[in-house]
Amino acid sequence: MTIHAQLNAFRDAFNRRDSTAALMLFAEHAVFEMPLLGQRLFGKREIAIGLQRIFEVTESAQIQLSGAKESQNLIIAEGRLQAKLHRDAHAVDIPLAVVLETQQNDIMRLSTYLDARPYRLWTDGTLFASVHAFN
Amino acid sequence: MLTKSTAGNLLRAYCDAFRRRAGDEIENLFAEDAVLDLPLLDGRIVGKKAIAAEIKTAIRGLKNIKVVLENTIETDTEAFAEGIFCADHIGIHPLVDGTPIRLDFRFVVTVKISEGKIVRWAEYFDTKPLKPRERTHLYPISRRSAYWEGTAKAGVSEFMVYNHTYLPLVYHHSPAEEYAALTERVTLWDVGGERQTQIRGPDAIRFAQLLTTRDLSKLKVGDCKYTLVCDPQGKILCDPVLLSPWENVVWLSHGDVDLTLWARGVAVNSGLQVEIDEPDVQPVQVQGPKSLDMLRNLVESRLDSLGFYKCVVTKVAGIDAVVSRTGWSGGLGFEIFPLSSEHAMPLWNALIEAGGPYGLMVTGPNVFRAVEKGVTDTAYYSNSGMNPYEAGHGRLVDLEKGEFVGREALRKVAAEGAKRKTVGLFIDGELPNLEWYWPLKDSKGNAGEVRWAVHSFELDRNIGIAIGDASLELGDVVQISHQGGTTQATVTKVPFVD
Repeated sequence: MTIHAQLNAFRDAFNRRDSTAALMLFAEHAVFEMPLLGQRLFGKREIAIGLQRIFEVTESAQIQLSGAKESQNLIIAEGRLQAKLHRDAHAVDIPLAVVLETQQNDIMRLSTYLDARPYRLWTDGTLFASVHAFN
Repeated sequence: MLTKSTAGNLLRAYCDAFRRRAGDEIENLFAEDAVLDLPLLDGRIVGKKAIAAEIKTAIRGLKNIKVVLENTIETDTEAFAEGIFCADHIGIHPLVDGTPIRLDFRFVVTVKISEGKIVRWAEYFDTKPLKPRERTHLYPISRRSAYWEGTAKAGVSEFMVYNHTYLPLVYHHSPAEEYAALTERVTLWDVGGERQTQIRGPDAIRFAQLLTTRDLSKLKVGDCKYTLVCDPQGKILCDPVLLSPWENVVWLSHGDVDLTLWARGVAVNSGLQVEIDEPDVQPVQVQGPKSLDMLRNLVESRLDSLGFYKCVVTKVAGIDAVVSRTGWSGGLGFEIFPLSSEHAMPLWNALIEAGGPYGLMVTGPNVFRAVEKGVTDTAYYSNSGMNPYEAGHGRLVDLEKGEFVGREALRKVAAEGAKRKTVGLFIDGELPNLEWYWPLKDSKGNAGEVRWAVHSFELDRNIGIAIGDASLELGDVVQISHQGGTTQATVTKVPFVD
């Protein structure tokens, strides 16, 4: 799979809210950075919880990519994240960039860059409070 | 050798120029109709000139800048990169525990060029760690201003208590951005904490004469005067703006002191027919070079003909108000006093709407500009035992106008000469937050106090205003002690800029 295809596969799984499919794209010790989650997630276990958290608190969340530049193992893309939280009346539409690094067809790092300042109140609680539910 | 104008080269040139704070070089990289998308800004910036203005403002507020590009993928016309930006803020003091407030973040940037110039520059990063995390907690023992709802929406994060009222000081923009808005465009300040001591009755002006230091015998309706209120020892209590909006009514728009209580006490045995109270009038200030343009169509009266230190009773956005050409910026600006706090928020919303086309920014009173302009206030005099002559305000004392509180003491000071004087300072080194007045010692061992200290964005150096021995001369070097250690400063004149 090309790196561009990897990125599209993540986007599609994310937009389907399919955390299992999204998780399969990551290497065991990958890094996932998402400002909306407030921190860096290390390894598949934390990434799974993070994705689950996103899907729990959002009614909908869609990544749209509009442009990308790639080298062999790295791709940088820009686009938008449209998300509606359960608690909010309206969806938010945030400019977004994604940096994805792969190794042997697995995502080693997926960093999302977006301005979470107006939208992050809902994750100010402890992210891993429910960790035992996933063990 | 000329470098080819590829997207990657222009990206690197931009980062290098930013690091060197070379705003003009950056300006030349952009096409006339370029666009800039940056999370720290309130919206997309369009056009080379507007982009250059924003970038120069940003650069003016930062130092020790580092930009590291880690991953760059480029073609001739487009470059996408990931990187790290680090800088020290200018004008934002460290936390109380010494933790510096820095502008450090990781980012993605995308650059598109055409005909050798940047036509689109977009950055992506999270601003939440870069902004004040939340506002100060409030307690009901102090009053909220009538504009509370508007200031909260505008992102207020820090207040001072002023006349028992929370007065917003810090919002989410940087000091450099707020300074640029004040000196180049227009700003809106919630100064609901700036209270009016109202003197009403047939003897209103006579009583104001008794309470304040300037001669008011020629005061007419529509006049304003910057004046002083002193105690019987001649020490300054506050330096209000006196307004005469109606016949037999005087307002003393005052700083952080219980002036209404003081005036009531003075009135008790004055034998004058006056009523003293604090009306439900909470002003805003609209300050900046575009303030007149912004207000012209919103104010019923003709503002163009309203002179400096004049006021008029009028309507603003249909709301009854007094408007004065006064303010704390040392430049063009107005204060609007709605005649009831019930109409405060409709007024605020109308001002926000009217200010949109002029780049209005909601800010607190700008102490950086005030110190540059030598516009001190009650905070400068408080707890200092300072008399008007020491404050450099001898011109505001008319010893021959008749009786007023403090006259005999001030007559003695005038005859003997003030023992201290107010001077400007160019201060060396880093400036910590001025949480209390810094001790000063001159070369003869005389003591003094630094009572204001800020970074001057216009002069790009640290400045202060101090009270010291009357023998201080321009060019004298003094020692200052503050929480960061000991430093030296050179005596200069006030104001620092014209």
